[in-house]
Formats: sequence, structure tokens, C-alpha cells
Amino acid sequence: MGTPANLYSPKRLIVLLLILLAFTIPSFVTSRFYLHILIMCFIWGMAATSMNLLMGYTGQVNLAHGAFFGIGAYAAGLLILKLGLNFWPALILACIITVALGFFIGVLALRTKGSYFAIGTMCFNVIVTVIIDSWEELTEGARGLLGIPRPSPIPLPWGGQIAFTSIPSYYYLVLIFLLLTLLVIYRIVHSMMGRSFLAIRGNEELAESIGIHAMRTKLLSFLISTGFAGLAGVLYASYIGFLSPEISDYHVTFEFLIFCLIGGLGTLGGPLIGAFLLTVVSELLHGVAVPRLVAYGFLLVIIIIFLRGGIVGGAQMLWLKVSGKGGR
Amino acid sequence: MSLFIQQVLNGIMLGSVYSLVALGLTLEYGILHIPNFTHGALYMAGAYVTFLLATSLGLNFWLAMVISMMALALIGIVMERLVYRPLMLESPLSSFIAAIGMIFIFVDGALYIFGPDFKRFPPVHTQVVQVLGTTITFQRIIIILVTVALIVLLHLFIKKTLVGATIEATAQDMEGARLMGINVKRVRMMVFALGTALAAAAASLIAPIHLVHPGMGGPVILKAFVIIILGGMGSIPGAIIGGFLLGLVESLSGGYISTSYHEVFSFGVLVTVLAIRPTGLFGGK
Amino acid sequence: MTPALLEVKGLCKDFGGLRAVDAVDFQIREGEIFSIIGPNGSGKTTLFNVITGFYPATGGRVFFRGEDITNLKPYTVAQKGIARTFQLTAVFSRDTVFDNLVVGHRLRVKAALLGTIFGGRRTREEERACRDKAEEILEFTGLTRDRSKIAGSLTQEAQKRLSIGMALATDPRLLLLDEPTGGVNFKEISNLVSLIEKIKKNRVTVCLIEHKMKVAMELPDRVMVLNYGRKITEGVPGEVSQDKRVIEAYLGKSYAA
Repeated sequence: MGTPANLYSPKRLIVLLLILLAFTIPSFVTSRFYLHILIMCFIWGMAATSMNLLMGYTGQVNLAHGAFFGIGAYAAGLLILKLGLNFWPALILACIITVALGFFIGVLALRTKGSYFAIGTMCFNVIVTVIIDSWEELTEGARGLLGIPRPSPIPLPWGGQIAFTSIPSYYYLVLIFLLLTLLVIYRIVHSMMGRSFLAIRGNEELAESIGIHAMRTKLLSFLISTGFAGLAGVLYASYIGFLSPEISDYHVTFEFLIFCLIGGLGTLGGPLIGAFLLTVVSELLHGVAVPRLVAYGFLLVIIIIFLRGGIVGGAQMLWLKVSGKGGR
Repeated sequence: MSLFIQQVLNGIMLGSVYSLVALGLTLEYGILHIPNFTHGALYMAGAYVTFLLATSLGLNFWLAMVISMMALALIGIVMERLVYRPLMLESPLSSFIAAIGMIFIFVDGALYIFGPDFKRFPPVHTQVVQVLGTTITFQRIIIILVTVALIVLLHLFIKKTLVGATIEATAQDMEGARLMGINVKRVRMMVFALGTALAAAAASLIAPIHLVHPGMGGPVILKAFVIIILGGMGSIPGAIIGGFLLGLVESLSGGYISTSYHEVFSFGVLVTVLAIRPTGLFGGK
Repeated sequence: MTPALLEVKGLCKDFGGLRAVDAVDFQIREGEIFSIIGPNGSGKTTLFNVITGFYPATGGRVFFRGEDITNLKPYTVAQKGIARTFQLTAVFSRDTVFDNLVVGHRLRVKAALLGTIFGGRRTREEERACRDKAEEILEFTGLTRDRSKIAGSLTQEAQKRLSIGMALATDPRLLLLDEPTGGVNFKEISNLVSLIEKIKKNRVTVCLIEHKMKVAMELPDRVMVLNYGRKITEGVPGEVSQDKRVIEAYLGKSYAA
């Protein structure tokens, strides 16, 4: 749980260095391809990290996460293309819409627990995808939504503006949102609210007996989680410029799941690392014979049987052993 | 009226397939106490094996189906032994995640090996029969008959044989069964073999009609879950009745309401039921 | 005559055809230690579960400090000031002892979303309050040395102390302990007994379910006996231990005569 990290601990230092590195990357990496991969890593990382809040920290396996990613993406796309909204208000509105839908789905789905919850949310995911696919008058269905523009430029007080049409500029945009997401989730996880989430994960009945409102707590976690999924979706929509119903599909949900698991459930950096690793590997292996998801599958099974905490969890255990604190 | 009869017969046929799948799933749940999410992928694998045997080796359909059932039974045993057994004492989340991994292996493996296109099955029984005023292919009737036969066989196996009794005992109380000297490990493997064989049978039966493609397990497994949640996880009669019911509902709503939304319909029903009774219609775990 | 802290009137709980709790009436006075005894299956834990909202009551009412709390949810009951432990020792086994206690005080703070994200002064004070409470309870339950240990690795007796500590962290007026000495060996019982006496001295009312006769009779001020879900008698330990009906319930008619 959460004894706050030492101000100058090695972990904090590493994180600081990584953030610095991330900011300087566009200056020496000029290849559009590599920057593109990083942008996708950031977007998937946001989605996976937010999924982890509900799954790793609150113990509820939400298999509709991809649907909320898709809802955010489509909401933004439609608001911009069909209602002519500017990107920035569309972003905010799209997140609100995602959270609102999250509320309705969450209130229903969270009445169930464990496997039932997983199955129920998976059904919701399918329902959402089918609706996006079939409601052609609204979403253009399988034809897809084309031509979503990049964010409109932000005027600077001293003249000039920040435009987002170039890849490096979008890189910075997504990086900033990613860091924002990580910051918010970090703060939540290390707070009393975060402790309530962990209590629900640990033993829901016990948590209720010490006064924690299970439904409200789970719902809050659900809403925050889906909100950031929607945000990631918006960024995806504006970057790729094109949406089709597949981006809300349960395959997307499962990819997020794999990122979390391989990186480490219940750790802050885990899902991000998982997203990075797998996105990079899959992009680099693009032409190679071995189908990506088959490899993911094997990886998943092996990790879950042998390396319970994912990569980060495994590293943590290793660290404990090495530093002599032992562990269970 | 003849449309109605056709839809009903179609529904019973669909229902047969669903029951077999749900039966396998519910049997596995009774022993594992966790839903086996890979069941759908195994269903798909069963169809492909039959397809392969029938086309490349030119085997008789029924022979191919039986071999497929045996092959899938073997796969089921291996899966139980290598994946589910080590995770037996961990939280159900782990088994669930492992299941997802295996789904990726099977489904995307099939995608890679066979490609995403729908494979045509060589026609088996194409004679057309007149039933109650409507025409229906003999294949559809066979599906219903074979399903009934399998269900009856299963029932006899469980109720009348000693092996079947050990399965029932283990499903009810694993510890107690172990204490009575029942080899629980063997029972687990057997149940898995049975469950996956049933899935293979179901897939093989429907393959000539619904074609074979890598994603065919997805919708079916979700529906199987709907069925066992509504009918009671671990309940055999629940799986059978639920399966036929869902088949009928789908067929009638697809025929009379709309085909693109009819999948949403069954999920909608599930979601509604869970909202009212979060532990499924028949309660329990 | 001060009104009772907890008043249970005609409480009933049915499971299908089985009546687990049958029209039970009793009161717990503020500041006392009250124990509930009875043979296995007499409905003691079920009674706790109904009072604390884990099971809905089939009939009857529960009043706490004059307020009707019948059928309120467990977290609301805890909010009102009733905390409980479980027969099967329940702690957050993957977390440290300290973390277990900190979260115990969570119900007394708001932990609002915006405050959490932006870190206002109130949030910091709330967190400080929870940590201070945890320190206080560590001291009180004698777990200071174990504060960084993983809860699941503690001995049964220490886990019992931890679960009591967690319940105390909620700042309750009434503490319901379900078999606090269950599975604890003879030497360690006195630890728990003195802890309970300390709790009474801190003016928290205690109600315990106990099987160990020594504890059940020597510790409390008053005792209630249940059998087959019904109350057979209630009173000071001295009287109750001599009551024929109680002896009959435990040992059978031949001993009662």
C-alpha cells in the first residue's frame, strides 16, 4: 500500500530522468515512424493505466474498457465533424459523455461481482460495438468516421501559436496528457481514497464492516477509469483521424488487459511498461511470420503461471529479495 | 405460419448447438468453479479439425466429427493439466487471464493458419424434407437428433456409471470426494475432456450450415455464458433448457424483429437479469 | 435509568424454512461488557450479522442510541458507531499491519475526489488523522513492533488483535467481537482478555460471542444465552451459570436435574 516514497529515493530519480528523456526525444529522434510508435505507446499506456485503477487497485475486472475508449473517440469525432465543435471543447465534452455513459453502465454492472461482473461488462462491450456498427445515421457504421482533424492551434499570448499538425507536436500533446493521467492516478492511489479501493480489492465484506461504501467506492473507481479511457480515445481519434467500430471491440479491451498483466497489475508503472513493450515489439515484428496475438497469448499464459506480478511485480519481488527485506 | 414453424425449427436447431456448448461449459464450471473462457476457442478448434479431416483427408463427416471430439478432448486434458491445474489455488482472476491468453493462441493461430475467410464445408446431408408444412434441410434435423442423443448419453453416463458418479461427487464437494478416495485429478481431466468434446461436437454439427471461421467461437461462448448464468452455473438441466430457450428467442427475434440487433437482444436480456438478480436466475455461487 | 446503547426487539431471521434467530430481545447498556453464549448453531453469529446489516432481518427491530438501524447497510452501521470482527479472522492479508489500521479510520474522513487530486490542506489533515489513529491503535493493541509486517504472516492471536484494532480504528461506541479467542491457545488468551478490559476502560462498550466458558463468564458484566435461535436467559454470570435451562442446553437434561 502507501507509505509515500522518499523525496530523493532512487525510484523518484529514475522517474524524473525518464520524464526528462521523454521530453527531449523529439530533438534527436526525427524518424516519423519511431515517433508514431511512441505516440501510440503513450495512448495505449493511458488506457491501460486507467484500466489498472479499477482492475489492479480495486479488484474489479472490467471488460468493457475498450468500449469506453471507443465511446470517447467517437464522441469527440462526432462532435467535431457533425456538430462543428472545436477540438478542445469537444475533448472535454467527449470525456463528460464517456463518464456519463460509464455511470449508467457502472451502476448496472457493479451490482454483480467477480466473474459475473467480468461477463456482464464484456456483454456491454459487445453491445456498444454493435451499436456503433449498426447505428449508421449517427456513426457511419462500418464505413467509418473519416477526416477527424488535429486539434486546433492554441494562440500564444505573445503572438504566434502552437499547432498540432506535425508529429512532434502531437507527441508532446499526448506526452503531457499521459503525464497528467499518471499524476492523477498516482495521487489517487496514494491517498485515503486509494486505500479504500485497495480495501475493496482485499476483502469487500471486511471493507464494508469498517464503513467503506462498497458500491460508491467501486463506482467512483469505475468512473475515473472510464473517464481516462475516453480521454485516450479522444487523443487517438484526433491523431489517426479515422475511426471504425473495431476500436471499441473486445479485442481492444483484451489488449489493454494484456498490457496491464504483463506489466504488472496493481503497480503504477506496470501497465505503461506493458503497453510500451508490447506496442514496440508488435510494431517491430510487423512483417514477421509469428502472428502477434498468438505470441501475446503464450506470453500471457507463461507470465500468469510463473510470474504472478507481471514484469514490475517480478522486479519488485526481486528487489525485496536482493535488499534483504525478504517478503512472503 | 410456415415462417413461424421454420423459425421455431431453426431455433431448436440453434438451441441444440447452444445446449451442447453450454453443457460442456457448465460441466467444467461444476468442477473448476471458474468459468472456462477458452471454451469458445476450443469450439472453433473442433470445427476446424473436422473441416480439415473432411476436406484434406476426405473423411466421412461423422468419422471426422468423432475424431475431432477425441482430439479436442485430448487438448482439453492437456490444457487442464498444464494451465488450469497450476492455477487451481490462485485467485480466479489468474485462471481467467490464462484463459484469455489461450484464446489468443487458438483464435489467432487459426487466423494465421487458415486465414480469416469463411470456409465452406462440403455439404453433408442436403436432402430437403417437409416438416409440418415447411421445407427444411435434413442436416438441421440431424443436428437436433444428434444433440438429443448426446444429451441422453451424457445423462446415462453420469447417472448410471460409477465414473459418472465420481464426477457428480467431485462437482458437489471436492474435498469430500477426495476424502472418499476419489482421484480428483483424474475426474478433473475427464470432465475437461468431456466438456471440450461436446464443444467440438456442437461446432462440427453446425459447421456445414454456419461455415467455419476463426471468430466463430466468440459469439457462441458469450451466449453460452448467458445461458449458464441464467440457468445456473453448474446446473445441467439449466444449460440444456437455457440453450434451447436462447436458440428459440434468437431465432424468433431475428426473424421478427431485426437481424442486426438480435445479438444485442440476448446480451440485453442477460444484463437485465443480472441487474435484478446479480447471482443469476437460479442463484447459487 | 439511562436508555440502552443497543436495543434489540423481537429480532427474527429466517433462512428459507429455518428460523435461525427467533424473537430475540435484549439490551446492551453503555460501558458494559456483554457476552452472548450458546451451543453451536444457536444463532449467535447470525444475530451479529443481522444487527450489523450483513443479513436483512426477517422481523423485529434494532435500535442504537435510540435510532432505528434495522436493515441498514453494514457501512452505514459502522458509520453510526458499531464495529465488528468476524469469526473467521478477517484482515487485509496482503497489506502491512499499519496499512490495515490506517484504512480502518477511513470512514471518518471525506476523502473527496478534488481534494485527493489537488492535495488541499483538508486532505492532508485527513490523512494525518488516519495515520495518527493507526499509531494510537498500534500502541493500544501492542502491535507496534509488528507495524511493517504483512498481516497474513502474523500469528492467529496477533491477527485477532489486529482485527480488533481495525474495528477500534473506526471510533466505535459499540464493539461486537465474534469469538475473539477462537483458535488462540491457552497462554495467549489472557492477552486478548486484558485487551478487551482495556477497551472497556476506554469507554467503548463491548459485546462478545464466546465459546470458552472461562472467558465468557469471567470477563463480562452480563451474559445472554441462546439456544436454537431463542434467548433462554440473561443476567449476571453467576446466576446464568447456575440456571437449569442453560445447563440443559449445553449438557442435556440429565445434568440439569
